[in-house]
Amino acid sequence: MEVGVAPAVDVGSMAAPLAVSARNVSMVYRLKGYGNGYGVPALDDLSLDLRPGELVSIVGPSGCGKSTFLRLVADLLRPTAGTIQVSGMTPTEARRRRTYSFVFQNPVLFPWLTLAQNVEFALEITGATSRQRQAIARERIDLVGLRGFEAALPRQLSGGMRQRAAIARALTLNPSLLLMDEPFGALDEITRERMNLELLRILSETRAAVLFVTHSIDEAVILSDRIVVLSPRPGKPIATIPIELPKPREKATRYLPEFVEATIRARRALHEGEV
Amino acid sequence: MASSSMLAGADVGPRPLDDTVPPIIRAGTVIRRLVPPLLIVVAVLGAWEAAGRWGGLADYILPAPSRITAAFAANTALFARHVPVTALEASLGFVFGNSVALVLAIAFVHSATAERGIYPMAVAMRSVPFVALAPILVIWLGNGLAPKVVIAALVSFFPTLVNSVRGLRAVDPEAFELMRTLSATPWQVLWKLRWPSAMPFLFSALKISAAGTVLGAVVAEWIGSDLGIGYVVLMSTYEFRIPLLWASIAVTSVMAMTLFGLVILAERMWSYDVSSDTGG
Repeated sequence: MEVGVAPAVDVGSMAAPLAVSARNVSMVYRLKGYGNGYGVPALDDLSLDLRPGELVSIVGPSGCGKSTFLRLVADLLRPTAGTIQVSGMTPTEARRRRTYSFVFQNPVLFPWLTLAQNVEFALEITGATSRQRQAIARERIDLVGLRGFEAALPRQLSGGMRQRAAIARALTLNPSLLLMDEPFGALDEITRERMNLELLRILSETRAAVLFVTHSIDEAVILSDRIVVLSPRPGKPIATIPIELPKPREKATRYLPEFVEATIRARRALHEGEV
Repeated sequence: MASSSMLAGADVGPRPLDDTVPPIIRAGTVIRRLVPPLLIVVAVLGAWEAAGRWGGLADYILPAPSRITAAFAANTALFARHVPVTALEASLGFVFGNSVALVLAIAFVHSATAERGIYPMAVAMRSVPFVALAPILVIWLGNGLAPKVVIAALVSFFPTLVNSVRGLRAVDPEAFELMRTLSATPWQVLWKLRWPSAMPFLFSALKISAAGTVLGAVVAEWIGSDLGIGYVVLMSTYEFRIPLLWASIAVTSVMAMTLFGLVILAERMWSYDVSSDTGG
């Protein structure tokens, strides 16, 4: 299963629509109090296809609109120009059908809920019965390696554990798409490297496609099937780098010359974009 | 003094602590926390008592604690008649004032128009001296329970309104985004996100208004009433029964502290972080 770029999809995969299909997407943030002609351009003419089961990272300097793009896909924002389809639907439809789950930079765990209750939260909102919630949450908590911490409050957990819990919550809805906005950005590098491999292990159990935003090149290379490099504001795709590292990826993958080469390619693209 | 130092000694002594008896350990922690404030209270009362007995401090300036206690003991029937009245006014005022404040806060958070329209008026009301308002309310509402409840409610209204509005807004923006990605209903956003986020703010507001609401009821009773602690305060002043006056002041404080204590109790019952906050 780990051999190909994209894991096998359900029957009828031939007809399966792209997880995300963005065409010439631009985004200009309007400034309040100014006329229509004014605004801050955040994204400029981004087109991107994400196949089912694929993991694509978007890398770029701060303010290049990479988080904006995730929010456009998630229907948290509307693009100024261009079209986006999520599993063949409009972003709004996809959101209503809970096609995707969003993992934020902060884990967004509620301090008044235990870890288990936090993981159940998404299911609670969608109206699952308490028995369903508990069964699914237990399974996802196992999957992310947090068994035994169900009763802990978020403040009693480490940063890495909190983000694991957030991922568990995201997976309770069986999304076909995960939108991850620098989920490990607040972690120290050692924890982050471990979480990268953990994420790959977790994803191998699901079939979700992933759109992963980061400003860590190492992280993008170890995780991705493909990296899209954006220019500084307004973000414009300046390079697409396929990552053909063997799977499953492990600690030693980072020592491979191919890994180093890929980071150099991505870094060079970033530097050229800055000129 | 002797007994408290003995307790403190037992607490810090070299007795090995046994895991199987946590209640005793917890009792020890409670004692350690209670001893310093108790010592100070005892010291202050002792000095006060000494000043009254041997220092020549006149009764009408500051009666000794024993005289105040005696005045209270001699008038228990009086207090039994008047305390429930004030307690009722204060509790009703507390409930009404805070309920209206909460409903308005929820409205403000959902409607900018409501907020723009009503908030300035609420703020303006804050600057109306409620002592001056009391006679007007008596004219409007008569001499009974109603004007006192209204004053008590007004006093508790404002802190709760301001804090609840802040609390209902004190939500991580990403939490709102999470709710939107889950297509949560506005009702779910309110009850599962905004409301619990506002709880710490709400409780600090309730603590402020707990004391204020009793005070409001007592002051309202001064204006026109022959019932309630406020009446006892006035009556004992006119009749120059100074120890009784002080006793009624003490009773008022105890009432305010009781309401305050109930709020803290409610906070403890709700709160998720009390146990981890008391470390060290």
